[in-house]
Amino acid sequence: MKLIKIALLLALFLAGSNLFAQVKVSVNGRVLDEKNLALPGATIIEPANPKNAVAADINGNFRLTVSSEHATIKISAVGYVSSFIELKGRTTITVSLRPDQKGLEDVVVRAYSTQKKITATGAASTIKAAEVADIPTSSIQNTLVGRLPGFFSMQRSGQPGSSAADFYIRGQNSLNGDAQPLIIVDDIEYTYAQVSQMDVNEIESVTILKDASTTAVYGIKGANGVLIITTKRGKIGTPRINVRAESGIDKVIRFTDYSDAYTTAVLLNEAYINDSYGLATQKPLPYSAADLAAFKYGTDPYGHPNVNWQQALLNNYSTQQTYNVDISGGNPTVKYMTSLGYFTQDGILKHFAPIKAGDDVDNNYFYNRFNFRSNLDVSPTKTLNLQFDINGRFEVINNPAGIQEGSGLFKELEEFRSLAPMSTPLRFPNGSYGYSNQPGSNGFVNPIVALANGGYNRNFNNNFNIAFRGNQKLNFIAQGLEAKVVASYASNINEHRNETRGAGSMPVYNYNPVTNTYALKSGGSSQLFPYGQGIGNDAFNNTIILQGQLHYNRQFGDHNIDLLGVVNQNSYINGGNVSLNYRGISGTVNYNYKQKYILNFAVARNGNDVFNNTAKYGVFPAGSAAWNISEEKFFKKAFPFFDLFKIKGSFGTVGSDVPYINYINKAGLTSATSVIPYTVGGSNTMFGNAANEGALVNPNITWEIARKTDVGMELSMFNGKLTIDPDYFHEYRYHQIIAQGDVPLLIGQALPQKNIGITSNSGFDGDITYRTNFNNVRFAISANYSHAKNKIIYVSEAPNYPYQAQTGRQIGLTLGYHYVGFYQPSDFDASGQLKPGVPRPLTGTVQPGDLKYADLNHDGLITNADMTYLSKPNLPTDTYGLNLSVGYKGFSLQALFQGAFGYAVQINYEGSDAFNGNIRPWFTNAWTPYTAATATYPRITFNSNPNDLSGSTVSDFWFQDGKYVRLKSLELSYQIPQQWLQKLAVRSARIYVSGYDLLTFRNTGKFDIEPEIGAGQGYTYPLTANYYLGVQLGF
Amino acid sequence: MVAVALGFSCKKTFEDHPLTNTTADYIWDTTDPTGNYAQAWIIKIYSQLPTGYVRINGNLLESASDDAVPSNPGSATWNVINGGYSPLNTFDDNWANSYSAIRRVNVFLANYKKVPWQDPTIPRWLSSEARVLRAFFYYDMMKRYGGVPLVGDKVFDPQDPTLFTQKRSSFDACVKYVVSELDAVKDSLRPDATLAQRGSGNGTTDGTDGDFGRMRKSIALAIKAKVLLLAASPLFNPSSTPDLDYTGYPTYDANRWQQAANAAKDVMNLNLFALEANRYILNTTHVNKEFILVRFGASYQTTYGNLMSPVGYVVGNVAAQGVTSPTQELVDAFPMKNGKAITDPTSGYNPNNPYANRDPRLDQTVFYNGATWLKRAVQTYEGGLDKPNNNSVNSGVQTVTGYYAKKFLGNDANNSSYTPVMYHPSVTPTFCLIRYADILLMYAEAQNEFSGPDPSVYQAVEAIRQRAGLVPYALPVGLSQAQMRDAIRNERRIEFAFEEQRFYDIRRWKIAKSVYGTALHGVTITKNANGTFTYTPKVVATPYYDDKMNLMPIANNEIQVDKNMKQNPNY
Repeated sequence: MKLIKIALLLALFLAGSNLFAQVKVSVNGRVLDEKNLALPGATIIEPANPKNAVAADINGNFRLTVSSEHATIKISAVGYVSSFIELKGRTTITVSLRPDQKGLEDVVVRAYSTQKKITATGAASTIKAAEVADIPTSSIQNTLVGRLPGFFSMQRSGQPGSSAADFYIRGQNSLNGDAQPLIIVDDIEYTYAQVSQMDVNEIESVTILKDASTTAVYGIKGANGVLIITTKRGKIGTPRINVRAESGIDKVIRFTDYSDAYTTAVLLNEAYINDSYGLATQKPLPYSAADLAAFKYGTDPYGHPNVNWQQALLNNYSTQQTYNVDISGGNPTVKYMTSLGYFTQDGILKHFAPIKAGDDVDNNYFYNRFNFRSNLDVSPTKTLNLQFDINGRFEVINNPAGIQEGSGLFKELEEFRSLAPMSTPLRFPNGSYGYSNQPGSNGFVNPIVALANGGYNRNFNNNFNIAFRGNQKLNFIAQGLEAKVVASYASNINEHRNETRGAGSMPVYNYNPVTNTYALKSGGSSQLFPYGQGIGNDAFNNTIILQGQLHYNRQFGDHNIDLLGVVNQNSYINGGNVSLNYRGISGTVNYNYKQKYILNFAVARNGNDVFNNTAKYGVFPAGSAAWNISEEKFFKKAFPFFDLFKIKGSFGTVGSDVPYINYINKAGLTSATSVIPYTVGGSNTMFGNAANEGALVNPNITWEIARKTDVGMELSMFNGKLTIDPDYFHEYRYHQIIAQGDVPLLIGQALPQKNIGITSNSGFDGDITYRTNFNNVRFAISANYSHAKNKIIYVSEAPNYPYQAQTGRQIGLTLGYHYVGFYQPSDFDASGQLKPGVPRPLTGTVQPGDLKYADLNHDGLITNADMTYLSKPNLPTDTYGLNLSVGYKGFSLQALFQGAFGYAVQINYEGSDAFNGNIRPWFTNAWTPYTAATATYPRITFNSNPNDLSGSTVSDFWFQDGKYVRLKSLELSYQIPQQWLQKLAVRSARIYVSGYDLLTFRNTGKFDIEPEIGAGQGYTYPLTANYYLGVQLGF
Repeated sequence: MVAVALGFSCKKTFEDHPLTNTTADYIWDTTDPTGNYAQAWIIKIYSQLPTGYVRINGNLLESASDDAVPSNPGSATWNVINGGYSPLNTFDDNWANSYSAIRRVNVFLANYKKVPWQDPTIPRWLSSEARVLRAFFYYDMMKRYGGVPLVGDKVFDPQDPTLFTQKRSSFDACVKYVVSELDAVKDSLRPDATLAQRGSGNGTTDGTDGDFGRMRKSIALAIKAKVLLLAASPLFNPSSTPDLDYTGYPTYDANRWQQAANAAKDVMNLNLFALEANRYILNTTHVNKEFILVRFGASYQTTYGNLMSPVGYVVGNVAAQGVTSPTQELVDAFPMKNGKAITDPTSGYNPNNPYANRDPRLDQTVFYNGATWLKRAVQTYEGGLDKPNNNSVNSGVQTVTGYYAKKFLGNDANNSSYTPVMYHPSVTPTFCLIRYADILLMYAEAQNEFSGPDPSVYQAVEAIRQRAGLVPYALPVGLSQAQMRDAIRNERRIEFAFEEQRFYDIRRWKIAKSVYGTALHGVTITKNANGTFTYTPKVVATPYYDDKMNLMPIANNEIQVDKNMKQNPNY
């Protein structure tokens, strides 16, 4: 409130400098574009007397009152070079505006406001949604990687409805995983999931704010960077209807490789030989030569089945479709943009007929989304603008329920015990189904019968948002002053409906091909039980945001001042929790002299109601400065080809409170207690309930602080043909909320977290773009690169050995063993025991071919004292993109290559564990005495030696450097010439084909895996390459 | 408009913070004359007593002793068997739990007087119980680490600088502190129940003592006897590192044995306890004549039967898991029914029929080949139901020694399910921490060391042997002190098998290196065509043992963050 008062006083003071007109003259005019077509919505203003301003109407016509018949007027429109006209007594004029190639007058999005590109100082990158609208993926964030410098992401799954990538701005710099950027969509905060639901057709632009000067106004929410999405709004003009229809296929990029029954059986025999090591007699092998022959030649399909379950259950492609309609237009009083969209994406599961024909349900993976948006602008007076936005998204996500393994169908496919290739035939001769009953199997029923009769799990996600904004120009107080209020409500209501039937109750048989008899599974039922239903509410949350702004922008000769003050409040209610409230004030001051010397200062003071009173509000200041050297005369003379040569720098702090949302502090307690049941039941209920001291409270806990430095340049040459935009940054993040690892357990109580962690993150990012025309060919090439590497400076730890310290290393490394080779026969004595001096693991017993680790503390044993921090983190340090586009007349072709490196993927779970997992390509290269020199996998065993398992004894053996280059997208479009359309009632028409994730070049090291799937377990829904054929019509 | 917008926000829809967060003033309620939550506070401390049973990696503590090994080769206990424990990989570490309990005691002592107690006996009892519990938790640490920091009544704040400068008190100081605490409160505890109130009558139902398990004078005296016996034991009396006062006493003092014997005698003189004639009563009841200190709510679940039973059993559709494999060494420790060791040529032991005519406790302690269980003979011969050598049975996990552990299970030879008494879902599981047989053998051990095998020593040991069912139960007359020592140690081993005694006894006696740092055996049993069996001994493990392991390591973190804190020697 204080800030508002100050701003009002300031405004009143400035009002004194107003100039008043003496004479009034009317001018009529028309604004046209470069093709001499009407340019609606252009602004016409008399700079000497800014009160005299109007906008051109639908036909480009305007009528302006000016102070004198010799006045100079300025005509400007977004994307065009402004034109100054001296009236010289004329009262009717026609003006043609030229498109602005340099883009220096373009407006760029910033926190709570916009700025002109030429006077912007901070580090930010923007992309117009139109550039990525044709890419066939369900989530906007999947299109940003490789296009925005500083944008890092990893797409972990291809499952419909869950395929959106998590993303980070300039990497991660947190000890507690707090790295998600703040996401603002038209003043409303979004989560990753909500962004992924957005229809790209509604979006105008996406901007990421990277440095302190651009994010400081968000205070305790801005430390991870900010992603701002603005949506399309109506423009003055006749109603325009845009229709898009796209249809395409999603092709599985690659299925996980599992070996066939023959290879599996051969390896199982090998495992039994290995497992007989040290035994007096060789264990009998599970498969005879006749068995192997039967597997190999398929001579006994029921007794020796060989099923590729992925092929049996899955298609290698599915389909997706998108339909959009939007209608926009308006006049100076009312502008509107409404949009409807429908997106549907199928899964790759094959359909199988259920046992009871009437029970057929849709159990395939699918994702359907309907969304709408209505953005309405109303200007009841010349100085008042009101905006009413309503938008919603309604999603349905479907999953098959007939899954016997808790982690899903793809986990089932990976497990030898569930679905080995020889587990059971597809179907028995009489049409009934079996279950896995070969050695080591766990009795899973045939997945076909389980899926066909198991039903579905269906989630309904409903997202509904309303926003209201009012913007009043206050020129009567001070020229250039305006006030704005925002009120918004955003909500999610998610529910589910499950129609399921347990696989255990399905009738399955054991078939004896010799006697042609069927035996019901022991304990099983020959009857199919009815479906059971589960419904429920999964999530309810809403956010109410209230915001007030005062904005003042005025030019005084060569001095330009822009002031912005914001008060805001945000209440978030999640499920049954009490509301979480934020409140703050923030402001920015921008000053520039002749657009040459630019200073910017931003500050926020805000807090939440979780921290204690003394630690509640934080002040986050940031400043930046820029020098447009290209505006200097000497520079213009020396380097006339430069349109822009700007150097800039910023420094400041931003905060984060995300890791600590705990109301214990709010109650101001020094100790919290809880009553836990400790009931001793039965005939001796003596003791009753127990009371207990809760974890200790740190009353001083408060926000984290990121201190950010950024220096960069913005260069533009040859009329905007070549632009270069590099940035170096350094972020020092301190007061991080982490557990205390350096307090004696002697205290006898769980310790509170403290603001003690420190990390740093530095790197560079930038892009370079060249665009030109040869004759009729439009050509553009753009490359960008992002590097961000973090380092732990302080983490509360008490390492016993220097190699177990995290300090000085990257964040997110794994503690594990250092692999030095395989145990060789020469390491063992005649009785099969390890020779003295050869380090001996504590976990399990070892034999030749097991993994051998470095004995870092030289005690002859491999213990957890030998663990050290391994390999690389799971998020790339470097990511880059190369975007090429070529256009000729109506044709245009665009291709994006994107790559990343500097991360590692851990092979884990079944991927490291033969015969818990099905046979992967690397298992076949297991150690044997004959392959000792070339083996890339330890000796194969049926008895899971914990020493060799990635899950129980993690070592760098199991890490593979992740790196890839993808042809991320490719689009070819054709704009049908207007003359062909004139007879139809069509204004414009375009057809296009496009693809996403079309080609991948990856590190095919010893583990041949999908490079973006993080954990390497290989049981996620496979990533898909998506192909679209689309039509866009304008009316 | 801004003002209007902010005006909206002043109306509170929700309370200021979640009121479900209880606060300290609920516990130390100055308006509650019954002290309901203050009483509940003490209950929480009781819940920190050791739970016994399968608390170590899903297995018995003794699976890391010479009495047994885990059946599952993937069990983490094998790490300790193969490589011992270290400050980075502690084993049975009770430091944090003990200091947590001690903190709770101290919080109670600092606050309980805020409650306007209606009945003045309640706060007196509760505060005394709290101090006995605290003494027990110190004892529980001393048997592992030696001397530990004595924190008195202090409740540490995390910012308190003295928290980072704590030193280990001398072993002597710890003994003195624990004994003085027990002496100070032993007469202000709630009164002991009579033998009649404890006795279970028919042996299948519990006695009527409603406060069973609460700290009483008898328990305080029993803990005192435990502490003094520990203090007199070879590990600490004297320490092998006499310059480090926290590792024990600098010199030997025979009087410590006398003090220990007297303390045990004090418990015996209460005449409040007796040996239950039927040892199975100890498995099927928790209020009985013999139990002195029990832990309620122990991890003794209805699943214990299928956890322990031989892997060939399926009861109620649940397959047994046979997690523990007792060693041949344990089996061989059981004498013949005539009381003679199997190594005695006159004992009548037949290596080709090794389980016949043995001490009845063998049958109560381990499943051996041919023992009857749930109406069939246990088959641990190669290919038998309980050692099928088949990966599809219990994931291939089966006995590695030819034996399974039976202790704590009922006498269910002729039932078709585990005994209904202890497995009834409404009966609270208990784990006995001190029972009367322990007092008798503690007395015998201390008295024998102090004065040699006098008649009272014979009497105490023979009482155990008589109840066990040995005929005759008498020990040979004229045993030397050393012979009597061996007899008592063997008696402890077989009487308390799997009751968490052996693991620490062999350390206390400093015999762990010789009995555990050596090959442990099992037996390979092959069934002959004529139905007889051939028994072939085999080595199942050669555990790693170093004498430093007689004292447990203190977790590395404690040493790193407190420069005054000393690690035990050679870690």
